[in-house]
Amino acid sequence: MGAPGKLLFLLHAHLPFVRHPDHERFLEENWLFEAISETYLPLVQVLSRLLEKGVPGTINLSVSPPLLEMLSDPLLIERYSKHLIKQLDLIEKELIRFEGDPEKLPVIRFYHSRQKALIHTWEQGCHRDLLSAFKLLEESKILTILTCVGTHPFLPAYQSDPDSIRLQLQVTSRCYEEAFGKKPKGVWLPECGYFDGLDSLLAEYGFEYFFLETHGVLLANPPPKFGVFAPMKTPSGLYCIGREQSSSVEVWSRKSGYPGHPEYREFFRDIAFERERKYLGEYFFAGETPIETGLKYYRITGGEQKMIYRPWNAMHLTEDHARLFISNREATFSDLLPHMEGSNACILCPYDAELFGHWWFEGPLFIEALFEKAASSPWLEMASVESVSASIDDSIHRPVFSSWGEGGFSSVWMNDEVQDAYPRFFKMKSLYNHLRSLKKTKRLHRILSQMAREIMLFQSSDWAFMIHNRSAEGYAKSRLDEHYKNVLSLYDLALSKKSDLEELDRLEKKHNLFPWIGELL
Amino acid sequence: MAIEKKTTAKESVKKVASKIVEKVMPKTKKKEVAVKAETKKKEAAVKTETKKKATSVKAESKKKEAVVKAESKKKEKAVKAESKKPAAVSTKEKGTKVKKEEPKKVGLKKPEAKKVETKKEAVKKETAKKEIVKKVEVKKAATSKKEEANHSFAPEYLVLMQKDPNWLQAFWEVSDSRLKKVQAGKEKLVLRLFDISSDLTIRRSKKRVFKDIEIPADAKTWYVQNQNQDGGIKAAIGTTSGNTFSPIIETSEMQTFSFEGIHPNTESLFFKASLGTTNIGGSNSSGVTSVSAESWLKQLASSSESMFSGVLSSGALTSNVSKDSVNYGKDFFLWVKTRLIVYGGTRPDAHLQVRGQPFPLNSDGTFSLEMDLPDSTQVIPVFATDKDGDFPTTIVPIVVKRTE
Repeated sequence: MGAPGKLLFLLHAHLPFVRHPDHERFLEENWLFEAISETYLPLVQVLSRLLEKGVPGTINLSVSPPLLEMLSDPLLIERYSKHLIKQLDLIEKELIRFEGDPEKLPVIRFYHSRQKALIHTWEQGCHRDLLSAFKLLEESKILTILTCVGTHPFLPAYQSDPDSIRLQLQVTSRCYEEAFGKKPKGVWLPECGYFDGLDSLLAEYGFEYFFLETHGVLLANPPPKFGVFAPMKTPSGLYCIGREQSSSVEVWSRKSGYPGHPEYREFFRDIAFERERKYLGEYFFAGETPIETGLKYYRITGGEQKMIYRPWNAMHLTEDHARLFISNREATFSDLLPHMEGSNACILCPYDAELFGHWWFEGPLFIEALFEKAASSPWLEMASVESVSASIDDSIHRPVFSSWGEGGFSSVWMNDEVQDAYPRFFKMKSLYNHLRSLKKTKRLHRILSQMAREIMLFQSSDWAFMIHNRSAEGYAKSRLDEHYKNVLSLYDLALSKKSDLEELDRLEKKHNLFPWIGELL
Repeated sequence: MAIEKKTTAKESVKKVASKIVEKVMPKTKKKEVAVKAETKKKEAAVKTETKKKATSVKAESKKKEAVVKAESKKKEKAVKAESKKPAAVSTKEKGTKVKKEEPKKVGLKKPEAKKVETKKEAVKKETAKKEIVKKVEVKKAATSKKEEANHSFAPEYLVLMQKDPNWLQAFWEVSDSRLKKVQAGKEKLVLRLFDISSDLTIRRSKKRVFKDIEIPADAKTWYVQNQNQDGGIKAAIGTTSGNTFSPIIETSEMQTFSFEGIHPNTESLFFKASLGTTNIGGSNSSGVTSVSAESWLKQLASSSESMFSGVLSSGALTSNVSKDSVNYGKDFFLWVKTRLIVYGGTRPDAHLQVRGQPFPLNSDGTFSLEMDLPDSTQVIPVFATDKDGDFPTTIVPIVVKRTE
């Protein structure tokens, strides 16, 4: 029962699989470390505090298979543990450096306390196992854990190759089961990418619900009566929910979104770019490029002349913003519920998880405040996406081809900048299928398993996104090239009579995700 | 009785930058690729001039600035496909111990990047729109043809992809030896598109509805306008001689989406609310500019250069049974309505939001909002900050109105 308005706050946690065991320190591995320190661990802290306080409500979290693999990878876990200590050492040097500085010292002290708390949560709270922490939180009903498709492929690009989608879905299900001991029900479609008929593939693997961009639902045939404010049943019997726009804009908008408020922490002023190399130490350098330390002392301010960050003012502001967010949703529910013929209404608010904490440093505190504000609302409650399944109308609607992002279809992931990626994918698939048609041997099966991993990693939508947005573009291109080259080389190996499998060993150790994938082939 | 709000959904749909057809060629060939707008041909025309130093690539621009926009509803985009294999990017960076990225950009994905573009990006895209001709140089492929040539098995495929509601792209790889046979004979090489109806009675005679696009033997890709209303489509590459079609390679059947036949009720309260475009207080409320649901839909359609021309139906939700009027025919009547006025004041240079949307202030810092007040509970969050964003303040009037 509860309040008539269901606020479905959904965080999508995903990072591309980045693991470079052949290098002691690798710049892009820092993406994972930043996300753990700034988003995933703070989220565990926030939800744990809410449980202690007895605040009701549920938040939804989809965790992608590559992230599940990285969060349970011993090498990356070890490296992250070391990273926390390196950060603490640097903070302690900063405390000495700025002793007596009335403006900066309080900020550094804030980071010092925060770092010690993070280390405690990581070592004693989670025992270096974030997935188990998530699982415990789910058992306490404050969290619902969903999953996301395979290596995060933009699925409309593979509409003509349903077998590749099937493999991605099999991997999705298995990976979730390995991590949480049960089958997943809900799945986040990478980039909200959908094409007509995808629901039937999802149904083959037992998924029960998924999410779409607003127009994927509004333009469905026939259009749903209540827009995105109620779950919609698809031809294959799944239900889907569309994103509501206002709640998105309030958070996502660069111009008017909460994270851009002058009081919040400035993202682009890491001390890595302000300190001398000798002082920072080699750990915070990759070649000539500084690696972000996570220590940022300025607030957004609103101009080029940045002012010193005031953590407690920013924390207070999250409460104001949470109050506003909840009030705006209450306004929507109060408008719509009288017209919903006694049904409950829902508002789906999906965001990239890493927005909260990594990009918007104070984001996890905003989430904590949301729970508290919602708890006293007569109109709404923070709800699990599974709580709306009981209110699904039996009428069938066919959602349409759509995605989130620019233009609403595929322009971010299927464009001229990545025009050679898709022909290369289909070439790799042809080679893979050719090997599958040959007589099976243990050797061949092992090679096919690695080929499948390489092809799936190639399919990650992250590469196209980075190339399109000119963000780590060089790395994205090198990854596409690397996986393509690996597949060609594995194909050659399969056809050769070489007994030396050194290259295969190397690839299996490097791209070691989905160790059980051979069982699915 | 529908309550309307006037709001602005600034981020609901982002414009897509024009898709300029870019063709990539190996730097060593020193060839120029020119892309021009093609306005007159109904079917895609592909001409690859491999013997010339300069290769012209003509394409009908997919975006608004294309000259053909108005007259091209039934015309195909024409692309002169480039016959060379796409060049891959340089792998110079590979094998290095560390990567050199732009320091400030290294990190996780930018949050707004999905829905918001920076000024720089907007300017860049705007510039790109103006360029009908664009030259691209790409470093030579890291994975050389030599490497690929070692494989005895020649991969073959034909793929059809939907790029947006209006355009499909076909690309393929077919062995040279099979294509040479075509070149030697008098048969034409065609890309055949079958319209596969979802209507089972028509499906019995499936593949009968088709259209052919003649393609040169060295083409590798083709853009096709999506005119398939029913959604089912299948493609094949083959040769034609008289009425005989001999397929070489074909795709499986796929469903496509177009705006034809889409008639959402854009006046529905729920449609508008989904987009955040309901109106506060109807026509008498002041000041808030709003993106209407209709314009959102048109923007969405035009963002993919759709020829959307569907009739937008209208229809409001039926009103609840009203207690606020009594009518005895011509003898007597009484009706009682209520209006709600929300008003206040702040500093004249402050920023104000009402129900999550920016709201204008009068020159003295006052503001006023007037709206119909049916039986309902109205929650009206009012949020303000000073000009610098400081002093964030929220006040939430809640009004319960009941008629007895």
